[in-house]
Amino acid sequence: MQTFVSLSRTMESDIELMLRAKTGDDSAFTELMRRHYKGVVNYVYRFTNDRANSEDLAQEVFLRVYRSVKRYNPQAKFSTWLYKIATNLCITEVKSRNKNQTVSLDEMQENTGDLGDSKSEDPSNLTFRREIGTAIFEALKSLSERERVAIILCKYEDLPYEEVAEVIGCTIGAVKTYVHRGRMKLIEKLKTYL
Amino acid sequence: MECEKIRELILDYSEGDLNQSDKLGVEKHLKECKECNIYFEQSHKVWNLLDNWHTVQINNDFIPRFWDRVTTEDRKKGNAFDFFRNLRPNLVSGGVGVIILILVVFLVNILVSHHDNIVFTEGDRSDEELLIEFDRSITKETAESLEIYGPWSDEIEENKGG
Repeated sequence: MQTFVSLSRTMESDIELMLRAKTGDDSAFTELMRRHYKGVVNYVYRFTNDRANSEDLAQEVFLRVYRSVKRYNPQAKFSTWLYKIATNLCITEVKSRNKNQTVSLDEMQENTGDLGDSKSEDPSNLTFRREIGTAIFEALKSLSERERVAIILCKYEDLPYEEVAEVIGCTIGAVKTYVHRGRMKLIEKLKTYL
Repeated sequence: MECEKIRELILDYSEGDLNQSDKLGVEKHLKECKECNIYFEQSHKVWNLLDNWHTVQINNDFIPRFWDRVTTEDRKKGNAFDFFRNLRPNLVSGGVGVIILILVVFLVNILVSHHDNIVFTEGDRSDEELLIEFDRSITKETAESLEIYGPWSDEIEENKGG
């Protein structure tokens, strides 16, 4: 019986968990976080290219969701709402950073993600991966906000076009156009690696 | 089809989202147009190149840290509310005190202030006498001047009798 209860709990949808969280059930919110925190941390990281602070920012995203859980109205998918909050936070963060840009290139490369087991990996391979990571980030940074969001969500978070359209607040056709334009710009920016 | 139109369709084509006629149109164009063919290949390559940007390794304590953060923030908020909670009784007692003070001042004012205490100067007294005299004369004049219209009650009686 207990197994059945725990199994049915794991089958609960995000919306059901959110509705439970709305009644003050923190275990439901923990389960939601367990499902989504890796995606959100990585999304924030792709947006900011700052490994050191991406977890803190992702926590801020969940904190905002948690604080507004009482106002949650299950009209859209939970992940759409989550990524919308994450996107707004990332855009604000990137803008404030651009204003006070003091990070050196070395610092930036230092913060460019955890590239696996750096101790056992071939140093030249590690250097290449750091370099390509920075190059991709810089190329994505050169895109418009909407193109960047569309590409990161489609490519890395594997969100369907419908959800990306809801996050951005546009039509599915517009998302496809952003992805197409973004790809064209990325070809230009990353042609040395192609 | 024009190259620009084809390039817009390439995304849907590579995802298999095109209808049969568009699919055939794209395939035909890609065979004929070298530039679009290069774009198609590069579009694929760049999409795959993005895979080289790996995910970050996340600390296992993400969720416990989140709840610690919530607790810390709640405590901070609680402290802020404590301040208001402490402030509230003081404000209430202060307000009650002010109301009592106003009432006391008001009552004292009523009890102490009496007509006898009003001091008239000689000028005030003569002004008052003048006003009384004026009022009497007006009343008298008004009564006399109205006599030309009367006595109404007698005329009415006569009309009834006639």
